[in-house]
Amino acid sequence: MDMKTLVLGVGSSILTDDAVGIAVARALEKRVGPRTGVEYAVNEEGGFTLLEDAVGFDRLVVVDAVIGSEPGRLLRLDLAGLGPTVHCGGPHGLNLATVLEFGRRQGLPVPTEVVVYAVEVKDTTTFGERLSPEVEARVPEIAAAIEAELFGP
Amino acid sequence: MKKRITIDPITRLEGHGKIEIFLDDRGNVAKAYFQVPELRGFEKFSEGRMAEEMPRITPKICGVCPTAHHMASTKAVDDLFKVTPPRTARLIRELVYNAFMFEDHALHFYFLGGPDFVVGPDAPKAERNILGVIAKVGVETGGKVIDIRKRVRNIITTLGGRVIHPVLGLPGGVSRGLTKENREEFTKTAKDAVEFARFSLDLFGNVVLKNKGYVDAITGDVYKHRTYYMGLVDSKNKVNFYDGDIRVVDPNGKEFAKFPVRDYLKHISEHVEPWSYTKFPYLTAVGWKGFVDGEKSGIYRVAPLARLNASDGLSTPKAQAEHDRLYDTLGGKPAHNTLAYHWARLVELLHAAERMVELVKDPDIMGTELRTLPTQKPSEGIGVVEAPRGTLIHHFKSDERGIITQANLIVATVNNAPAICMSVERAAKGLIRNGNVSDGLLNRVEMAFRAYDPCFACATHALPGRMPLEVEIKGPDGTVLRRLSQFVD
Repeated sequence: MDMKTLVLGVGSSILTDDAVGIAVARALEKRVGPRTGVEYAVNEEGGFTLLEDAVGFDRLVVVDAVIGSEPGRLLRLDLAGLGPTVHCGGPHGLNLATVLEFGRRQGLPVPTEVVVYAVEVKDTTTFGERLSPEVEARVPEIAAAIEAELFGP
Repeated sequence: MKKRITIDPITRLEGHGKIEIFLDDRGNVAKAYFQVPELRGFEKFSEGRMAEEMPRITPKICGVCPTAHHMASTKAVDDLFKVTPPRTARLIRELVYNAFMFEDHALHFYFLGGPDFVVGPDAPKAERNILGVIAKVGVETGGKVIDIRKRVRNIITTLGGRVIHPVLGLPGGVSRGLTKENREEFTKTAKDAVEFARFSLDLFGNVVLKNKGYVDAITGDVYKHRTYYMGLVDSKNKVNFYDGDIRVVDPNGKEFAKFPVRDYLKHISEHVEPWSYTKFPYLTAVGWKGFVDGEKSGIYRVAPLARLNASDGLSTPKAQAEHDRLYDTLGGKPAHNTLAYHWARLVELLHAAERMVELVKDPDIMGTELRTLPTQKPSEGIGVVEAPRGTLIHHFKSDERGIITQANLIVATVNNAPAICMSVERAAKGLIRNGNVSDGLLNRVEMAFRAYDPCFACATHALPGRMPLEVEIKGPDGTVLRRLSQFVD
């Protein structure tokens, strides 16, 4: 049996580039098409709800926005690179690694393999339902790159 | 020694939640600032949309409090279309709203306040998180948190569709009612929520209130400010999260003002500082006197402790008893101890649970009249709720077709921004001496703002779940002596 994979687009869909994770997850779903064992979801809440979404999957693939110097650049991170949250100030201060570790210690079936794709973006503080042009232009190639990594030969 | 800690460039978050601490020549704190990010263009984004769409759009502003935005917008469009929801609809809205307050407060206590109090402010930072909390209180408690949260959120999803995109609120009512099965299930959930809240208060009593060090921190002067307080109250001046008049009390606890939300512009003004995009609200009648507390300063506070201070108590018996215990311990009402916000949050957790029990028990919640249909021309609407983080106001204007022409939001954290700045500065001054800046001290500075549960989550998610917070310590000439962020291990 194939392992169960969740592709999770994370971000706010009305804060310009913050939606890039959602856009990439959707583009990926369109490219890949129906595939046994692969599901797609959007998470606009973050924090603890990331755990709730991830429970029951073997592999978690998160696509999110990250402020960076080159809009549209794709970074691939693993959970170890995220590290535990050492301080936290709001419910979003719950790090993905921390909530998954919490789930594991609670005995929940959390994914054993976690990949985080972070797309560098420019603007996440202006209300808008479209990505910045330079970020939007990169979405197809980002989706293609992720497809090759996840489902490539 | 001047030491600069740099951060991996990919995690740099310019302009987001940031604390800046300026030291003088002797290494003592001259000034400390706390900045919240500004979201731009909401007005323009809203223009031209249909007013009734706003309750479905505004929850997306913030993944942390979608239901608060949904409800504030829903109430604003009630007002805009000049309709009053039938009693059944009001009860359903209030049930969903209390469910939201419950799950949010529970999350805050265990995941965010817990690390400071249950694990301890001076514990190694690798343990100051939910994992440390669970290590101390046991896996079984973690299981309880997961279970009750899931079931309480189910009330929201059943009635509102999804949590992040609720479709419950319509101008003049709600989109669906309760079935008999829903009611049975919600009754059980609400009763278990009461038990969970009591369990949490017991835990707080055993772990925090029996520890002299924690009690000293809560009652000490470092985190204490005599300010005005604001919150929504019902006709008996009891706390109500969903509706009521805005009541303000002075630092002695005397009623200073009480007004319907439509008059908010008469009572609240905004101060602008050159170093911040954030506008700092203050009470117009008192005036802006800088980042200082006292009767002569118009700074007011909102959110859990402020709500209790601004009220004559809670309408539910168990929460009222806990309210009395809190004020007895802290030496009377109002209490000015910032760290007591965590405790007040648990008192509110219990109140929200008790309200759920009351609401679901009310026979009218099973009514079939769910909407009052609008018949008048829409024009302007203002809605207010108490969000977990304080008073939240949505204000819309429309043309006669109901197309939005103007939109304004006063979000909860902004109301607390002046007080948060003041708390951060006070804590920094009290704790940082002669250039001695340890991580433990910085955590105690952070504790000052963490008590308010400030929310900048609506700004950016950055890497999943990472709070964009940075602390910069600057010398007299402005050079950065030290920069810390939560991303630095």
